[in-house]
Amino acid sequence: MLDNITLGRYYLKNSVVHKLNPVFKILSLIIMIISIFFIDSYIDILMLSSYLLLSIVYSDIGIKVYFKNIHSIRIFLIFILLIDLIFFIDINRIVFDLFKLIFIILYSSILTYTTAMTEITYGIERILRPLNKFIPVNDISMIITLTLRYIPTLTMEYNRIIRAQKLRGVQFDTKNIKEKLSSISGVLLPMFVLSLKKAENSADIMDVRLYNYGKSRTNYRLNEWKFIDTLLLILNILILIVVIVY
Amino acid sequence: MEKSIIKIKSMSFRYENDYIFKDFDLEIKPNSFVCIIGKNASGKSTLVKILEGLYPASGYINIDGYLLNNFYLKKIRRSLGVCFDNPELHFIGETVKDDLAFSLENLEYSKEEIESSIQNISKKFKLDNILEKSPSEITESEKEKVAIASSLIYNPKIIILDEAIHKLTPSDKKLVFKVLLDYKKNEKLTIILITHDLEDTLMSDRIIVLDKGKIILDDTKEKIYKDEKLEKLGFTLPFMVKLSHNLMLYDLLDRVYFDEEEAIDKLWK
Amino acid sequence: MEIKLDKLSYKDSLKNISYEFAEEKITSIIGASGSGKSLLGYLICGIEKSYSGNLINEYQGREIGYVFQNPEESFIFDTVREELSFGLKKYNYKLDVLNKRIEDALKMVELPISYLDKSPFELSSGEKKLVSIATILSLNPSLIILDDPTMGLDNEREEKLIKLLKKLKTRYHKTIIIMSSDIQFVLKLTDNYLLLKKGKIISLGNKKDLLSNGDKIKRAGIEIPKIIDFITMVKKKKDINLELTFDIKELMKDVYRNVR
Repeated sequence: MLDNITLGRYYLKNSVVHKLNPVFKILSLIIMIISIFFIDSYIDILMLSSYLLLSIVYSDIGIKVYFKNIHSIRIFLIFILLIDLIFFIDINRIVFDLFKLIFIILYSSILTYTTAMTEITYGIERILRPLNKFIPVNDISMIITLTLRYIPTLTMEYNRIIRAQKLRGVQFDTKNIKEKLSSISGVLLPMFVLSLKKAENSADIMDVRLYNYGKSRTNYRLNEWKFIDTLLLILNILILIVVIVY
Repeated sequence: MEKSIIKIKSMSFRYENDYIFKDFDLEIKPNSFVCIIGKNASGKSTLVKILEGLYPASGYINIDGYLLNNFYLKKIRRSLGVCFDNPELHFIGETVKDDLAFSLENLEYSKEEIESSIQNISKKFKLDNILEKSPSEITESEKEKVAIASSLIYNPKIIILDEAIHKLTPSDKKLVFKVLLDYKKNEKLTIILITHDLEDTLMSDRIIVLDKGKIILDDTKEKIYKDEKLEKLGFTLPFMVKLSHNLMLYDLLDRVYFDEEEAIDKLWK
Repeated sequence: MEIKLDKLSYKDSLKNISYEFAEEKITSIIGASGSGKSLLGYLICGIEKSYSGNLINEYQGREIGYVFQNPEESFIFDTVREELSFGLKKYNYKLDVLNKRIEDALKMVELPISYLDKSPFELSSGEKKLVSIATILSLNPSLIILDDPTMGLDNEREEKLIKLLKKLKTRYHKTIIIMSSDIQFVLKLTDNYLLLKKGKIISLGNKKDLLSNGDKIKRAGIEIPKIIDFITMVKKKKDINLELTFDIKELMKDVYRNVR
């Protein structure tokens, strides 16, 4: 059940895209997401495809991996195809809709394949930094980090707990609704409590390890914002403008 | 007389309706290596949590010159490095490197200072090949090593290991002790080791035996192991101590030898 | 009832494990942290699946009692009483019978009855271990698997545990599998053993064989009992052959003989 949660694998490489600032990559993803809403001509598709292809090439990650991605969402693609065929019978529309999905899946894959989770967390933190007066940005990024750090561990533990409780006689595979509900609540609820206890312990450990020692924290993964980041950001904005206009 | 780095006087702590500690006194000198041993539920771990300000106790507690209260708590924690018995819970970062950086980030060290501190501690603890690994990819022994390394990385004056070395492999344990004793030799570290395995006490200067919140024995290892009193209290003596006692009965040894090689050389000149 | 492993492999962590566990005996799976011993335990009782190779375990479901390395992973209730009664609910015992069973289980691990109303999370680490052992005992399993049972137990409690496990084997005819890296503990009660290093079996046999495989144990990254270390060092440094033993009195006599 919980076995197959993967968070978009990170491939450790030294490509151009890998070295880009995570803040840029997140902003770029946002800009691209906005842009797909304005896709309405083949010029848009051509431009975005070239940009996507260049990004894939410069990410140093095999085309096969990206194809696998598309393959895994083929059900959605077929679904969109059918809906469009039934309701709109417009070839252009079908092409645009399919392209939108493929594009966004591939582009966000580039982000997750080339950016370590800590970098993404850092990127989010830096983007939210100006809002520090209104929201506790450090704490939010700490929460994200802890969640990411604990998901694989907890997943493993939950799986084991479920199976071990099966050994103890908890019935998960029963058809009886009442039994099923009580077995789920009898195990999942306490697992929630276990997580809270872990969290409580973690909170103590964090204090012991000097969290909240000062007013702020440094992040040693400080990526410099380089010229290429500015260049590409401008490029992204230009693409967005073109897509909107055409 | 050197000023104590930890001074506890008339400390009391209650949990629900039981007194875990009542009028407890303890002083620890800087740059010493103290072992605290005791049965399950003797109060050892509770003492550590009190020193870290996680449990509120009454009485006089002074750590590294600071009184233990809300005002000085952060400074005290800065002087302490603590590892508990579950290295999984200690691990906060997504990778070993991130975890080592954690406390330094909290202390607002610069990026360069963090990098060099990590390189430094990684070399000492031989962590170079696991720096980029996540906690689920390393062994329990490695996790314990990382926990100890991450506590030493910000150079606390005192390190407290609460049953925190039991998952280490023999070679990792050797390495950890070597590093800790190096720091101590350079007058940079007070070591407090809490353990139930008496073999670990043989490198310490002082052994304190805790029972139900009271100190029942407090002495050097030479004096504590001179006779069988620890065994009478239900502890299993370290092997060399037991062997020495037996050999002393047969007049083959004149005193307790803690080191195997020394004893062997003495027996077979 | 068979427990048989045939070329069992699990990803990178276990490689080609073939072994047959003896019934009504204590078998120890010995290995350092990272050797795969916990994983092997999970596979044997079905907590982990997706392996390659063959695994036959005729013990099913509640016939297996599994005691976790970290007791917190098995606690789900707020009181020890509820923990102990949970598995027994299915049998619809009358309240007094149920109470007797859980009290007996607690007695077997020598914890006071007053602990029934305590929260398992608040106990010391050794007591947590004992409660998780009591929990599976109350279900009366035929196969008992314990992962690192001595972690956190002081010497006194360890001796009591050894007595209990021996009693479970001889008097109650249980089959017991222990995963541990504590050689000293294993040697006090095991009949057979399996030594793992990085997922492979590097040695197996009975207790006597274990005593004579000191070098393999060292290579597996496990702490050799000091007494064996001493005997080996005497041989190395002074070329004197002392008899391999775990009894200090025996060693004493041997040293005396060899010094005079």
